[in-house]
Amino acid sequence: MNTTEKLLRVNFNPDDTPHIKVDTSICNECSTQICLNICPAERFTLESGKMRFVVDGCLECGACRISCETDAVTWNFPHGGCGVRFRLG
Amino acid sequence: MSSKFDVIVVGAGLAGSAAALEMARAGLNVCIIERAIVPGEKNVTGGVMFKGILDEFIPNWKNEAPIERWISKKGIGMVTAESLSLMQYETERNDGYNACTLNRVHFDSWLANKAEEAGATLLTNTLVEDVILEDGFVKGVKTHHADGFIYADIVICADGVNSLVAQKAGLRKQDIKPKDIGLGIKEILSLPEETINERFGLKGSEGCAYEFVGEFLNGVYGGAFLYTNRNTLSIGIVVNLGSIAETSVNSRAILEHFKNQPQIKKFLEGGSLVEYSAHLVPEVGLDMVPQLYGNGILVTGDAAGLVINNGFSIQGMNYAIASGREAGKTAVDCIRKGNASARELASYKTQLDQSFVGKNLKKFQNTHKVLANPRIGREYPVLIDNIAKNLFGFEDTIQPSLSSTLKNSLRGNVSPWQLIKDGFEIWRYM
Repeated sequence: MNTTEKLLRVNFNPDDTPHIKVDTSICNECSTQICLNICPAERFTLESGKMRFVVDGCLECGACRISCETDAVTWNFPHGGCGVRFRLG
Repeated sequence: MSSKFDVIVVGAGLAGSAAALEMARAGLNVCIIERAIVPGEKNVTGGVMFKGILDEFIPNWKNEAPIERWISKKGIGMVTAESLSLMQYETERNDGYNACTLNRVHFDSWLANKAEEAGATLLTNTLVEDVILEDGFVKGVKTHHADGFIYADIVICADGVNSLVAQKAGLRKQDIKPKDIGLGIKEILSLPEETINERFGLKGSEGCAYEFVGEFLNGVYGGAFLYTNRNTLSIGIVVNLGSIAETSVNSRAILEHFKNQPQIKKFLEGGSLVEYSAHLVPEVGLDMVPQLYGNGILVTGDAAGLVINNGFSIQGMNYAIASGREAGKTAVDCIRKGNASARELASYKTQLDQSFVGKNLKKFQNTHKVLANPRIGREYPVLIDNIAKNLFGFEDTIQPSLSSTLKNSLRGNVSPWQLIKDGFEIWRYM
């Protein structure tokens, strides 16, 4: 089962503004692109060699916030009442 | 909304609600602010709740708290692509149930509700964005609501592992580093209750909890877990973020790899995925505990990094409740004295240091260095596999003696010098 199918099993209450912003122009120059290996929701992907970030489906773990060494990630919590809603955490 | 409380607690997780319950019982005017719609919805556990603190704090909790199963069987296993070596402890003692599995939405909501019943105000759907600072004292919090300033004499940060509030208040000077943090990824698989009981050899509400290391880790510092809930299994991994960066191994692939180890696969057969989750875990104990108090502010639970791994069990939820309660007690004293200065609030740290929280933090402060040994995830599972298959007669050879099995298994795998060195560290720090 791929990550997208796994995320279909998770409840979300979408936020009106993205709680994470990624400056992908920095990522495209990044030598490690560690986020690709770290994000459990696979929100960081490479498309034709360019970094793509999609905030919908974020599990709000904060791994990208802590691991990104280039300051490309601006991380915050979603607004109150928004974001992931685990039923079986 | 402009209101004033004695104390504001940021976060209705276990630490926050425990603090609020302690203070509300003492008659303080307390407000818990939670960003989720329902307490617990943002939380994930990768383990079990050890009950000691609850017995003391809420004596009747066993009869009222929503729990999944009582742990009667606990084990650690080493996994290779072809084998599983399991060391398991099982008890029939009725009073031996020292721990339980739980669902965080159910359990956290229950605890928050206890605080409400005791008189605390629970404000959900509300994100705390910053603290209000006046003359060097924290005087309340700013929420994202229009006109959302809420005032209090003390703010308790119980906002979890990504504690942005403690950081903004200046208590965590430097952000946590990847090597200090584990990434937990968990899947919940549904299976009929009877199937779980049969498969794991359990009766009624008994449960089991296993932790694993092995080749599936691919040299990454971490481990995997499997435990039973009433009619689901929780399976997942916790991998160190610094180690993922160093090794360039994919975290999601480690979980898939683990689930596909033949011996693990048998446990999961027929289970269908009902939820996928992830959460960070503080991993280095004392080495990452921030400044725990300041003028008008205290930090508790995961926000303070209060998780302890002694190599055999990882405990965090009970430490959250215990530390939250201590923060609550200190806040009660300081509100009664009318003094919320850092000097007064410092007694929180003194109390914490004297409790099992502080004592264990100190005792196991170097354990993470032992556990980060890459041989635990690579050479040792193979070594154990070798020894076990020889001693248990799975190899069709002349029965070897224990000493020759050990000698042959070590050859080309781990040098005797390394074994002694690792053994010494385990002896010393675990």
